[in-house]
Amino acid sequence: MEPILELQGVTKKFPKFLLKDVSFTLKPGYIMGFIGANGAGKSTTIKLIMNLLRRDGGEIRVFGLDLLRHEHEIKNRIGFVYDENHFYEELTIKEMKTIIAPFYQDWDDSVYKRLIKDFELPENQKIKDLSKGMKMKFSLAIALSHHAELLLMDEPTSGLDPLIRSDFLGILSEVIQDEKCSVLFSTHITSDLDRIADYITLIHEGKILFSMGKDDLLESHALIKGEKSLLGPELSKYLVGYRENQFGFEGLVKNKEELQPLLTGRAILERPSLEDIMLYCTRGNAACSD
Amino acid sequence: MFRLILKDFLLQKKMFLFMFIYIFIFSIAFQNSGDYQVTPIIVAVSYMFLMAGCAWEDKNNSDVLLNSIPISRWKIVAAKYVSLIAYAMVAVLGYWLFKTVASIVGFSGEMSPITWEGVAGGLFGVGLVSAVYLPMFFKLGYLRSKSVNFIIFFAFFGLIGLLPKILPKLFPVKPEWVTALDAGEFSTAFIGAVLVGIIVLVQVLSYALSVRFYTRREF
Repeated sequence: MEPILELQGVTKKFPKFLLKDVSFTLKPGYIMGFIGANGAGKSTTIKLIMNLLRRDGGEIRVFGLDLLRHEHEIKNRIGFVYDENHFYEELTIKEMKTIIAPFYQDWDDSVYKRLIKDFELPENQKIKDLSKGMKMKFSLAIALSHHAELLLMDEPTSGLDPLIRSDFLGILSEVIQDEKCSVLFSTHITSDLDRIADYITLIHEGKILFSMGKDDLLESHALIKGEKSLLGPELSKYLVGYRENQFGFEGLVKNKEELQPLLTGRAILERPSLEDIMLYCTRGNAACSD
Repeated sequence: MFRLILKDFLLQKKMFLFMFIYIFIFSIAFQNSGDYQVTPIIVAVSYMFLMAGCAWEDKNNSDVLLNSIPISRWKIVAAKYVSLIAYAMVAVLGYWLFKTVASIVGFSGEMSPITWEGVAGGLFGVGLVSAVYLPMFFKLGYLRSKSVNFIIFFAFFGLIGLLPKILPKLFPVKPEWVTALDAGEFSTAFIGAVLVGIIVLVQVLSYALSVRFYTRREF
């Protein structure tokens, strides 16, 4: 199956930041969580995919098409939700939709009206008077009303309170099941992805540390707790990162299946969260990319 | 492209009130300009709308939105240029409405009728000023081009006033074509065609420059 999104060796240089050799693929119908700390390069990568930034090297293919040569066609099939509102604040929801809709070849007004109704958005209200949660719902309605095959979401939940965030994610997971489109969901709030992601890609300081299935990632890694005497050459090849404390140490290990028999009860292994994996991979020596 | 122009008008609904204030001020300031009374009004009003439209783009950081939807960058640029014609038409209509109302209420100032020469002069003027400003806007964005715009706007009106004093010093001997022009040897159609040619050339060059700048911008 041809990837719906493919980045190969993408590079972008800024005076104080380098996005280096970014490569990953997203298959049709899957949701990829794109995680990393603030400033890791998530938004830069998404802007490169949208051609808002010009890349210095590498290749980006969307729907199997070269981004630069087929930009117009590709954008017709992409829906986007950014972390900030970029709609014209002085316009009403209705006016904004009137401006945007004709640019999309496959705009479906019946889908739009259903979403506006489901999201309880007041069509005659100016965008500047909407709450952040409502603005995000409006972005989502626009993104989903032209039968997009790929949704690009750049930290859509940042700045939303927990209730609205949960609401937003609920709507998104429902809608995605119906629409059967692929999603690249960038966030530093990893708990957002527990419910919805199939794949996880971690970026740190402009480099991709790993890109793999979420279940494989959680199954192959484990949180380890044990005495300091365990910290030796035997464990070091499995250890992604660790912290010492007064009782011993706590860390993250990879290749859990292989390690488990070697420990013979000398340490406790627990299932990690995505946040644990992100924290240890980015704080430690980043050995999790192997 | 029509939608982008419509968007600029929707954003500037409140500016229509300012338009009539502009028309009032400029009608008094240029009341002895005869056929050309409408000229500075077209320039000022069109320019006011153009600048306000650019300011809204900046305020909403809308380049990110516009460049994320399926629309070519050259069309985004073209919409700003085409919108100038729409603004000029609004200015003419506004002048006509103001003149009609003024005559009903007995406005004492002299308001000349709208003439083709006056409208053509206005289009020429706004075409010239915008041709200089828009490439800077597409290169630098609104905020950074604002100060340059300030200089251009006042330089334009200042220069028009100073031309009768500067030109004789720059050209002590009148060029032949100026003498012929003074003597009325060129037909109005010929002069019009030359001016249209100049402004079309200036606008095409300006547009090409704007597209070049904007396609290289990053957001």
